[in-house]
Order: sequence, then structure tokens, then C-alpha cells
Amino acid sequence: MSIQTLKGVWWKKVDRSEKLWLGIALAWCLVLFAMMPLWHWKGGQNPSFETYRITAADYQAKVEAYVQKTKVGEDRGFPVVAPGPGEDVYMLGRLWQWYPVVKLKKGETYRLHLSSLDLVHGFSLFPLNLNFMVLPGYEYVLPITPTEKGEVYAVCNEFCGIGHHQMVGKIIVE
Amino acid sequence: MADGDQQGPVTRPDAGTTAERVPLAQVFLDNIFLLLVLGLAVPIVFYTIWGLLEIASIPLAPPFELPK
Repeated sequence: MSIQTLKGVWWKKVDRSEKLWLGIALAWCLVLFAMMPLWHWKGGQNPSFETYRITAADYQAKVEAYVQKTKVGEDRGFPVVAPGPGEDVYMLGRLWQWYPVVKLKKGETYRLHLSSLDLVHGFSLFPLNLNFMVLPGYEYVLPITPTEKGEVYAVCNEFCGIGHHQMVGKIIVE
Repeated sequence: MADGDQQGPVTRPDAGTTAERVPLAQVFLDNIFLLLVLGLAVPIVFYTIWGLLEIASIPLAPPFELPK
């Protein structure tokens, strides 16, 4: 808007050349828009998931009960749990750890439950390319199927304070 | 732009003057407060309100059952 409004009708129809450039920009927007579902299905970086509301205290109680029931050993002071094929498995993020260590079987599908007890944490599986944001107050359920044997590490990729760099969990695939 | 593309004036024969029909886009661009309202309303509806509805529609976690 200028300091003084122009008198009369100054609006003109869009010129052909301007329409062409607008069309190119719109087409590029549609390409980028199509990339979102395409990357979701083909890229595998951002998996489909379910979300539920839950308090941090309720989720912690759930995980503690789960660990008590399914614990099969210890790894550097962390309990190791080994769910049966197709079962639900529970992990929680808190300052500054992913808890507990999980042992899975290659080729089996599990329902991985995730939540945070305090801040926003990131569940990033290394050396794989999976990134997932975990907020407190919500329980996320991700279907996962390990395809290779070995150890993968859950690295927090949302800065969560002074111990952020030490927040590394472990998933063992046998 | 081609001058021929401009919308023509509407003549009122009884008054002997020319009344121009102002296009809607110009109505917005000529009024900074209408632009402000539009600039606030669009993100509020499509970002804030839509987001709040999404959050409100998240169900409670189902009852927990320990594996057998």
C-alpha cells in the first residue's frame, strides 16, 4: 500500500508471462507436496505411527511393569528386555537415556511404544535413517521389522540439555 | 501488461458520470487493515485451529496389558 491510495481502478489482469512463472512456481510446489507422501512410503525415514495421550507417570509405570516382566539380562546397568515375535515393546526417553535395552529377532514385526518423561527427545536410529520426535504426554506406537542382525543405536536428535550427547540407547537384533 | 486487459468502466447514464467496478483483489490491496485481517485469519484457521483440533482428537492410551 502506498502512502496515498491510488484513485480509480488500477488492478489489471495478470499478463501471460507472469501467469507462466506463477504456473512454474505452482508446479514446483505440487512436486514438493507429492514428495511428502512419496518419501513417507518409499523413503522409510518417517514411519506411520499411532498416537495416544498418556501422562508421564502412567507411561513410566507401564514401562517399569513391562521391564519387570520381560527382563532377560543387563547391559551396562540397563535392563535388557526380549519381547516375543509380534509383541508390544516399550521404551522411554528421559534425561539422558533411552530405557531399557531391547533385544529383537530379525524379520519379526513388533509394535514399538515410545514416550518421553520430561522434554522433547528425538529417536534416531543409527546407522539406519529413521528419525522420530517423541513428546512428553503422548505415547507413540511404531510398527518395526528389523531386517539385519547386529546392534543399532537410538540417538537423541532433539537437543535436551547438558547430557544430550550421552543419550544413546541400544537395540540388539539377533 | 496489456492495456486491453483492464476491466472497463461501468457508465451510469442517469448521473452522467463514470462509476468504476473495483476488483476484489484491489479492494484488499487498497486497505492495509483488510490485508492484516486476512494475514492473521488464514494462519489462525489453517495452522492454529486445525492443529488444536488435531491435538484434541488424539485418543487416550488403551489399557495396558502385560505380555503373558
